[in-house]
Amino acid sequence: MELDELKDMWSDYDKKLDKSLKLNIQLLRKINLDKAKNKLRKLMIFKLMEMFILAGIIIFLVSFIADNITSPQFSISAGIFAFFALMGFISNVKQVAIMMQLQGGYTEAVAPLQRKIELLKLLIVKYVKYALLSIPFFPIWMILITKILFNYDIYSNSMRNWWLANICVSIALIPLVWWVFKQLSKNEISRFWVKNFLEGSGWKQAEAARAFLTEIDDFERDI
Amino acid sequence: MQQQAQKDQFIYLIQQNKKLIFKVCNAYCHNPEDRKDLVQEIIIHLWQSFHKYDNRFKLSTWMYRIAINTAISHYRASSKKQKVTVSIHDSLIDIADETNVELDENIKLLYHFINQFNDLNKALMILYLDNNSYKDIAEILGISETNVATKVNRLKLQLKQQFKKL
Repeated sequence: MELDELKDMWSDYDKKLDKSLKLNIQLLRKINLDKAKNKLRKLMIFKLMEMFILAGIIIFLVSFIADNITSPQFSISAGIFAFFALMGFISNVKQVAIMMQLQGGYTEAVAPLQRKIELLKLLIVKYVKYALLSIPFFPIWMILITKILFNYDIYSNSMRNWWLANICVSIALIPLVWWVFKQLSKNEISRFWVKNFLEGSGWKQAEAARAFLTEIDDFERDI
Repeated sequence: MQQQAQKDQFIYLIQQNKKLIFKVCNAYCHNPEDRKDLVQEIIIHLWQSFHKYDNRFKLSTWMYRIAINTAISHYRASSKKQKVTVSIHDSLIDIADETNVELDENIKLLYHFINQFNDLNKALMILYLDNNSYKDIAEILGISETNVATKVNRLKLQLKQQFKKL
């Protein structure tokens, strides 16, 4: 079959559709088109709130560090916490920036718009991935939270063995967290059980997003 | 009152361009139930952008962009995705008389081969078959005209080979 014939055939099909295609106007009038929720707007509001909370936490922690600069157990703990909060804040700024560009709806050209959507998905997964890294620091969170909420110095007032036990658990968590982090960064996970283990973590979405971004790159390339 | 007039205008627009929506949905969805959802989702996205329509662009460019972007996102969302649409039994756009538009065996094959292309090439082929100029296709997809020409030729060759194999 020649391709010109194919185009003619498509044009015949088009004409047939002209006659037979029917729009269900009654149903269209019945559907409340305005009621469809804009998921992106909801997510953006959530992310903006998160951003403001993180900004508040960072400001609070900076002043906390200044007040407790002579007590390294508090200032260092607060410094580490502030670092994670800052990373989260930066990631949120990037996410919100993309979401604002997507606010115009689907009216943008296909390839650039789809790229933005996939980048947003990747950023959201990355956000979860970096949050994971904070888990082994839980003894530090305890020092900070007890000081801030109860003005209690758990570091100086707890038994040495209790601290040692917590630090051991914390160290033991490092390889596990690092392993999950590395797995989430991979393009492909070959082991079936690892795939199952990471199913709910966003890895699948990240993997699909990365694959589609490669497809978009190829598509946009003038070759 | 103004809202009603706007809705009437919108319904008229959909009426005039239902074919475009139908063909995009057909290319991206095989499952009839899924297709109904996609038609509804495209119409909702069109409505949400209707008041923002920029008349510097051709109406068809605007419609294709929204329809294809919605179709790709719909297609790429997992089965677990939450529907933004409401459940409906009937389709918003459907063939009234199936016998009248009985699909030619070759059109069925063409749809089958187009379905094997990736999401973006699928869009490119539909736009090409719908007689859009390379300039319009480039504007809809966000790539250069030369890129459109190269890709169309490559896809046409692929299709030709597929048909030859039969």
